[in-house]
Amino acid sequence: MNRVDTWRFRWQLARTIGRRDLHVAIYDIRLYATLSATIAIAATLLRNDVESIQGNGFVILSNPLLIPLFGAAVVSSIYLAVASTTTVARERERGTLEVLFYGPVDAVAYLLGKVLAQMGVYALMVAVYLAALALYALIINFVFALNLLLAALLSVATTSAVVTVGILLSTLHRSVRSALLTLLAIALAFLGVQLGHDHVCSLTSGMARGDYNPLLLALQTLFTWLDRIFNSLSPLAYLKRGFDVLLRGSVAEYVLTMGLSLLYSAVAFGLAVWTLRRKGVR
Amino acid sequence: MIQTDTLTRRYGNLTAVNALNLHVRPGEVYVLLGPNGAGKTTTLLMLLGILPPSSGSIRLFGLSPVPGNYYAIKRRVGVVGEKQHFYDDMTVRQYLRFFADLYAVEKADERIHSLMEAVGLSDCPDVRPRGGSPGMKQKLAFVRALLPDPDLLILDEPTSGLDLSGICQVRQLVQAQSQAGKTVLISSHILSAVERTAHRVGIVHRGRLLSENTSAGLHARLAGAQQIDLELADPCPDLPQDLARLPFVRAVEGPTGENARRFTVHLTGDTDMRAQLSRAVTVQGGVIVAMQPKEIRQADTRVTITEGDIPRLVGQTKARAAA
Repeated sequence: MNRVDTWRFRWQLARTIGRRDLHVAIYDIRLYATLSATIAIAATLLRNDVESIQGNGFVILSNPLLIPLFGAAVVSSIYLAVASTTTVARERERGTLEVLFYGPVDAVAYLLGKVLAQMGVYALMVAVYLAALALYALIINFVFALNLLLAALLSVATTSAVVTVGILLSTLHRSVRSALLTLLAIALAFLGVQLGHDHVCSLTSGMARGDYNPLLLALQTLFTWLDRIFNSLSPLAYLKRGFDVLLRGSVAEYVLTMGLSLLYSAVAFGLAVWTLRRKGVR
Repeated sequence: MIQTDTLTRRYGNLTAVNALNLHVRPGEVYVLLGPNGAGKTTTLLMLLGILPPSSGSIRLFGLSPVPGNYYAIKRRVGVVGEKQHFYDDMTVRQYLRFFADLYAVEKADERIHSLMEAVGLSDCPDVRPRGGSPGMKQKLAFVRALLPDPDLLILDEPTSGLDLSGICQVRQLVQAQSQAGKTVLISSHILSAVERTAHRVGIVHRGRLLSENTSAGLHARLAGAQQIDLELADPCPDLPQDLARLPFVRAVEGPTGENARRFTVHLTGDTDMRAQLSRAVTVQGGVIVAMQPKEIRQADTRVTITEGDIPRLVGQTKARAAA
């Protein structure tokens, strides 16, 4: 087999695996629970805007539909992070991963199939959100602007980073339980740094840097660095950055954020393939 | 068809497969026979590219299993693993269709239908395998393995957990593959009806291929061996070690600790040693409830190979060398 045939066959394998996983996800009640909850949250946010208009007579928002879409993208990312973190670990735990590798499946085709399935689920979710937002826009007479579509497109790139990181975590574990505990620990670490940074900043606000207690200064420096590191590692931070960029209307920064998210996904995918090869399928 | 050169796999300090030189010819039914923990499954996993070897080389179909040859090799191999794992959400038909798509099987539905009929699964296409019997799961695994019409069929402990009729069906399947000119590699610790279809049997012990023989040759070596099943009134944890020291005892198998009530004693000669054995047990404080002699004959359906059988199968010199 030459290189082209190899990739063609690998793509066919990935599609078959992805189709199976997508089929399983579509018949999973949790997907619909997430969709319903997210649409309800979006409706609540828009209702707040409408009430604000009713109360004040006006509201200043560059695109009122962007914030509900951002919230929906965050909730979907959390759902997909959990789903992708369990996907490989579950197959390994049940022994079905080894059976797949008895056949012509290799690490690249298998993980590509997993990514395709999760991205298929997100594509479905985002289509539902856009449809719901379009309906809301029609009802309350808000503008369904082009940058909403750009935001949705950007969220696909940032979600691919969430999915590949989840799959990377999944390849590291032999049980669903340990994979989920690792995800929880990482999420708590991110949250802890974010809260710690905000708290230290609130303590020092209004103070001149020279007036800081040395311990407070050290803490502020530490949390600032940790916050920067975690912000560059968190796929959700890319999503937030991307939506900020859209609000500012900077095309160059939008393209950069999109490119960085895709690069992030590619690196996480490469690491996942390497990990699966190293750890094996048992 | 399969060629390994000083194939070795280590897990830390443990060498699971030790410089294995295996040569299986096209169209051959070859059995890797050895007790549990001999390194058979590790060997198969290395052949399949699931475990990387620590050293040595493998060639399948004359190809080295480098990434460029991965698909060319794997599309020609069918595997039935020791344990069967299926997707809970799929029926038999959906499961087979999924694997047919993975192998890019042409006219998949026809192929699935004919294979299901051949193994007697045609009446349960919409059943979920999870609730099926071991025999049904084994059949399904066979159909999955045969979907791509493989040139090489690898079976890991194919008769494990099967009843007599299941074993006969597996034997028929292996014979059919052999008659179709396919190569079959079987790993087993049981010399059963299936393994008797083998052209050659390789005895593996502690990761080494100690000798190769025909199936008939092996049975001739095993014939006349004596085993005695012992059952005691109360647990006797030290008894296995004490009995193993007796000159006419080759090996003692059985549980240890509080459960040490039932043992299988392998004897060295073919003379009746029951009286001596009974005396030895009584001296050690054991009270015998039952003593059942068992002689392995050519016609026996299943002979489980234990460490104690290795000297008889390959000769004392080779067995000592492996130890």
